[in-house]
Amino acid sequence: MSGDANQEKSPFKEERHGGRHLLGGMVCTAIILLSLVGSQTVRGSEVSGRLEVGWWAEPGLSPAVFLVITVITSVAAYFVAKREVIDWTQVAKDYGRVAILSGCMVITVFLIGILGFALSIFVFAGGVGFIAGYRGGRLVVIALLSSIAMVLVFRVGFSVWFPRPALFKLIDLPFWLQGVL
Amino acid sequence: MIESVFLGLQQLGDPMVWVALVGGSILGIILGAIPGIGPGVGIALLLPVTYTMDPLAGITLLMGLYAAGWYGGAIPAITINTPGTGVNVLTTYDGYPMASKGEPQRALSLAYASSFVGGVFAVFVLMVAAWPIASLSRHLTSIDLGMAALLAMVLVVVAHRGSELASFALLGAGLFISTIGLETAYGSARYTFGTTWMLAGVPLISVILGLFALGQAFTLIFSDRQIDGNEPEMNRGLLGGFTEVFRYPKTLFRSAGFGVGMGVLPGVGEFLAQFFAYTTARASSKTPELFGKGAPEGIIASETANNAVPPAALVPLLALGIPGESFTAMMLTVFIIHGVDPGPTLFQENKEFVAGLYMTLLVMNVVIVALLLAGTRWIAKLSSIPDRLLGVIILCLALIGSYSTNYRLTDTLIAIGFGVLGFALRRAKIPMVPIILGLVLGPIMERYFRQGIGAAGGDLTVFVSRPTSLVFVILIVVLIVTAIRNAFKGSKKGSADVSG
Repeated sequence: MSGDANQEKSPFKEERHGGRHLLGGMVCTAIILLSLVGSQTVRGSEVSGRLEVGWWAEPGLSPAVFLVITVITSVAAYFVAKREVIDWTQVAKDYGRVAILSGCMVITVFLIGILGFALSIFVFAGGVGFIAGYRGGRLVVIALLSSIAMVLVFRVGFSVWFPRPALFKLIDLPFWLQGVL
Repeated sequence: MIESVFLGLQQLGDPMVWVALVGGSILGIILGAIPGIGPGVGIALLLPVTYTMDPLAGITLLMGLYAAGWYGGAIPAITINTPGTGVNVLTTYDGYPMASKGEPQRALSLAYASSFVGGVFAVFVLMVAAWPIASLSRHLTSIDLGMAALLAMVLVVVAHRGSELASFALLGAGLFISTIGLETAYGSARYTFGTTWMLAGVPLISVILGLFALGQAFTLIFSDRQIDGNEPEMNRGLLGGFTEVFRYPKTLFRSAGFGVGMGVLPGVGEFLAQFFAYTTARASSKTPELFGKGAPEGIIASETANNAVPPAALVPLLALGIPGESFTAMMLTVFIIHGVDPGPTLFQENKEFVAGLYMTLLVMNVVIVALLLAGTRWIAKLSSIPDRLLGVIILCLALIGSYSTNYRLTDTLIAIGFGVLGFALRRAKIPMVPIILGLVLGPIMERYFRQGIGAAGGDLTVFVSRPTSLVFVILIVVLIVTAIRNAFKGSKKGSADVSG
């Protein structure tokens, strides 16, 4: 049960959750997905070269049942959930920062193929540290130590393979160093 | 029994098991001692690594994180009045007041000793109970096992008081996500939107890393948490608790019993265990007025109960293949990856694994205590690491973990998507565990129900024609009705403070 937000609260106190808009979003998504059940699953009888197994094994049955459960319970949860006054500016700011962090992650995945593992993680840790509010020498130290730690754990410790980056085709590095970086 | 002990000792001869045992314990203590992280994040981050390990070493690593996290979480609870993990909340009630009175070593020592007794007691219960339950499960039909999986999920949902309906909704979402990809009856694609990368389904690693690690990192990275309290002196005197706990044998073993009982039940876990243990200890104490002011029995009740849960939570996993919460659900994926089938066959075909697991769990408690006795002074300093720095580290780890599993950008994108969802769920105080359980147990339940209904020729009375499944049906209906009633009752009660 750990990892739940409400586990940080005392078990002596019960607190109703918020998140009406989140639940509303879930309802909409589940309804859209439910409307797609005909196009996103096939009927058992239509699968070529196979005998029909029975209604209970229809490919669309389980997703449809689970989506119906999601729709019903999230609609009920929406109406039961605590109504909150939402500061939309703050919400936009918070999710905007999350979007920037997510963007950094995507860019880093591309960078791994260009700069290699160690340099990409250095850039990523530096960027993320900057967003987190670190500046100056402390930012450099955080980026450097993070990338060294990641290299030691993943490349040296667990020997995790990564594709050979484009940069190493331009620079003549010793083979062992390429394996580490 | 003796044969099992020797078999287990043989498994300890594998150096990788020792690396996993000690490494998992150290990491668990560290993650537990840093408020705001907890073993869940650690397990999520290390899950991809365990897939390349031998099953025993992999499970040992994860169990080390799980068990040691609760031990480590007591340190900041006692020293700075901030529980390292959510399950150490009640330890602050008496641990911190005792430390404030100038006895931090005594409080820590009591916490370690109680945790040790709770952990070891639960391992013995696991050794005794798992095999008989697994043997009984041989008499269960596919419908019974499917209903047991469904009951486990419903129990987890109803355990989230105040969020029952939202938990049901997330369980439904998790179950739906588990159906994405190729299904087994016809080999047809479901909800893949014509893509090939979705044919294998939504990668569980990405979902776990997203919900647990990224969601937490997104929260931590903008945190401005301030540590209050002074760093206490931690010199000697950490062994005294190992004799003192036995001055309260009733509290000690009753709390261990609560921990085991609640650990075996899906969805109940550490919270209710320590809650019952603590309130019962206070009710039966000769000095109830001391509770909340540094009562040793308070620390003993809380720490014994919560540390008895992890080994007990393995009972339904090993015996029936049904995880009761997110940590054991993640462990089940290690079994699945290695083709190890939990249940009665596990005890017949993988005796070495089972015996080895029992032995490592016993040794693990000794190793954790030894590490704590040697390193408490330094571990206590970890709680002052800024949240923002932790956020940066977790982001790096989650990025590498999500990408290096298959070297696909799509896996990272899925992790990011679930990270945003985890962030939103944390803000809304909605539990995330039902998604994971739905995702892990969905395919198991679907397989059993297809087999069972198919064997009955589509006759749905198969759900009520056998006493076992009938009992499951009644329990599930009662639990769902009660949960819905509670949810709407809570809604009416809370309508007075509706703000907009």
